[in-house]
Amino acid sequence: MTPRGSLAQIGKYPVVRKLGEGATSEVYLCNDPFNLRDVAIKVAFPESFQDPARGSIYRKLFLTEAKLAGKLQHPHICQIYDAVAEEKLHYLVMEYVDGGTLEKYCSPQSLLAVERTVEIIFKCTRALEFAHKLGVTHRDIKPANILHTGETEVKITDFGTALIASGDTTTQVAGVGSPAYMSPEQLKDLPLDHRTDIYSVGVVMYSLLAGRLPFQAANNFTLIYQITNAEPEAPSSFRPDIPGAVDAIVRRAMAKDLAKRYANWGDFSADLAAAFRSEHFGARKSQAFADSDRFETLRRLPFFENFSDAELWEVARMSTWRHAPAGEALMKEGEPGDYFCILAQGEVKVTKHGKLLNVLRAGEPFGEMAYLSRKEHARGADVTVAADASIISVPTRRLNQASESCRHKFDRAFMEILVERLAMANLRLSGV
Amino acid sequence: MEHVANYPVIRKLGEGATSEVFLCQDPFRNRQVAVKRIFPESLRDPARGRLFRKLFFTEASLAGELDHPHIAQIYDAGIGEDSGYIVMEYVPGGTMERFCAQEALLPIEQTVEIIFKCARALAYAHTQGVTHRDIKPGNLLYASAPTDVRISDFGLALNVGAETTQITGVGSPAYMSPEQIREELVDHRTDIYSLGVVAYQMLSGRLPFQGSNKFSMIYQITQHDPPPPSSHRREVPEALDRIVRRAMHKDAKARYQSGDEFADALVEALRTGLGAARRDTFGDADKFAALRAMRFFKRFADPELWEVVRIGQWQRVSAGTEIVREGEPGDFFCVLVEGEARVTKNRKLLTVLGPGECFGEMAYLSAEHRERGATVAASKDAHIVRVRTADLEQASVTCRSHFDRAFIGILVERLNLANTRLTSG
Repeated sequence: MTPRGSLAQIGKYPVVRKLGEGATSEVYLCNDPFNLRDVAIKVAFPESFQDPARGSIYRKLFLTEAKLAGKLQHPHICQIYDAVAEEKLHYLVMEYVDGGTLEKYCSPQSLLAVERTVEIIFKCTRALEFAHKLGVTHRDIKPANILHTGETEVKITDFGTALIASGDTTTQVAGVGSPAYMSPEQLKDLPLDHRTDIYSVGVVMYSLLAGRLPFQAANNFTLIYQITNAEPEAPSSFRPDIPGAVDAIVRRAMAKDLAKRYANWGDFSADLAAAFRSEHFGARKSQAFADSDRFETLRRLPFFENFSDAELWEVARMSTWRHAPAGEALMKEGEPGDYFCILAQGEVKVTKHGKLLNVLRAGEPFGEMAYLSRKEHARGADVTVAADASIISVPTRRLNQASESCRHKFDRAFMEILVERLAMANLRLSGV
Repeated sequence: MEHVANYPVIRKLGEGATSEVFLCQDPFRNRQVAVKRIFPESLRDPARGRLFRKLFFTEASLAGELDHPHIAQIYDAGIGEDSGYIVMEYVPGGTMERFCAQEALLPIEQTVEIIFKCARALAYAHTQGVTHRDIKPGNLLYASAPTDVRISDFGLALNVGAETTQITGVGSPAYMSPEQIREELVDHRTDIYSLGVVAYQMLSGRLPFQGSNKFSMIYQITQHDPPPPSSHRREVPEALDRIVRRAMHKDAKARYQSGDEFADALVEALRTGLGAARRDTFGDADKFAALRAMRFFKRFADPELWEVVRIGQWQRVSAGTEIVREGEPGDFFCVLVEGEARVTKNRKLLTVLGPGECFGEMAYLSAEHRERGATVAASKDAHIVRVRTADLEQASVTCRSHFDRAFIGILVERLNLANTRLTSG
């Protein structure tokens, strides 16, 4: 048998280097020569599968979970590309994320800014809502299972490890370290639903904000007692710059009583977005629009009604956002156009030779002929800000590189608008 | 064998000189796949084995990019010290080999349809930089009657191996181009030649060159002109004799230069009639070529256009027939292929439509405009393609996107026209 940590090749994948090791598996960075990309491969230690009583159950659960994860295609969930169960070698082939996990931001000397934490948790809540809608509960949310890269990019990983660990052994296997992130109902072995994940995300948020766990105990027994009985101190008692609204969100996510906890992910993420926008935050945050802010804004615009979460995240990433004061000229007739805009807030007017053609309100696009006509396109009219506005610009070049489904949604949205405008024009023509 | 590269084997499908193929279950994606296992001997060869390994992934991933209704998809490939495998789409129904004997030939028109589809699929692969190098009836899978075909074993380094064994080993060089036999550098036109040989055989039931041994065949391929297919089967029209001769020209420069050119010639032959009585139904090749020529479908790539061939309902409409009626709910739109139609509202003529124009598209474009705003009737005998919106919703995103872009183009044009009229008025 191959000794641990010395694999040179896993199936058809040449190993680049070892990335890490857990209690039941180790992870390697490998090369996928067929698809020409880096992948992370998690290899289960053979012992867990060779157990005469449990081996076959583990194997079956392993495959079931892999099948499940293949369906979770979301920008903030780590993709599983393939799963292989051989006699002696079981492994999952996953998306490789360059960067570590959130673990390193959970101690007082390396905390993230509060806004960034809120952003990260917001993305987690949206991703887990997506999973929940597909009937998937993670059951093992903790900082070590949230990969992190860039400013606030996250990918949730290890879906279903809790299930693989199976039944009554969950606590021991998953919680080799500690049950710190488990919900009270999980510790009591009650039936679980998505709200156990809501609780665990609450604990992750607590740890990222305060730099410490909500409950600290000398041993697991005391810890379990506290999780099921004690109230944690508010995160702001360890870090005064945490606003009250954020304290309240953590408290509600971590409520022991299910009736007091967020009943669904939507409420949780809505509160996070609201906290981000609140006055208190606004004073300190820069003019820049945060990802969560962008996402929430897009989600509310009718133009994006039929976009999925994944597609909206694409839009949030490819677009540039800015505020424009009343009076600013945004587009001029005759200028070449290589981007179009969607008005997020405020009012703009469209004029031609000084004659008013149209006044646009939040949610309406302008300059879209640059995208729709495919050819080199000069602006056909002037666009000026009428009332202080927030403007989303989408470069046509970047949209052309977006996923097919995202472009398709733009096309459908524009189509509705074109049909509407054509109907209006025909009406005016027939009225003349 | 229980497993090939982690895939549980259901049964063996076949065996060649350098590999064997198994029907397997893909437990991860829950589908049946064909897995080709390369014999270890062909990998152990010290000189060639190394080169082979190097080429393997380059070629396999390139071929894996091919996504076309008439090409068997490659899903995955792997190679180790002394094992290699390729996972492909499983196509039940056997290969074209069984239609190559004189007593088992397909009707001529059906053969031409099949060769047409192969020629278009080759053109698609060639533009993606993939040459097959081993086109033969055994690599053309018969997916379903009457003319559904898939080219398998695309662009694999394996075919390089196969060639060599064919010359010096067990196989037959019957489908190899002269340049391939001379072991010169080949390009995509070697595939055109080989498809020409397949056409020859499926039309006539004979190989163009018959030799009592391999070396005499090699000699003939490089030196002789074959007798026309019609000399073996009298009803083969002269037009097809000519097409096959051109595809099989010994000089690659004198052949059809692309699969598309080859396909155009075939559809031309189909349309002028293959000697038999004029058909009443539309063949796939005919439909495809008609759509390919339309401005509306200009930006559709071949795979999407084949989808339209599949989901569209083709009809002949005689002059005077109303196709859509004002005020009725609509759940389809149409493209006029041939003929003329008049659009009227309250009996007032709005416009006259010609070939390539569509009508009734508001049913698809807007959820709020499901009711027909005007009546459209054929003013001359016409061919139309009817596309049900429900069928289009089932099509691939790529296909729908192309429809959307085409309609957006039309809407933008109409809107510009309306605006010009408004501002000039």
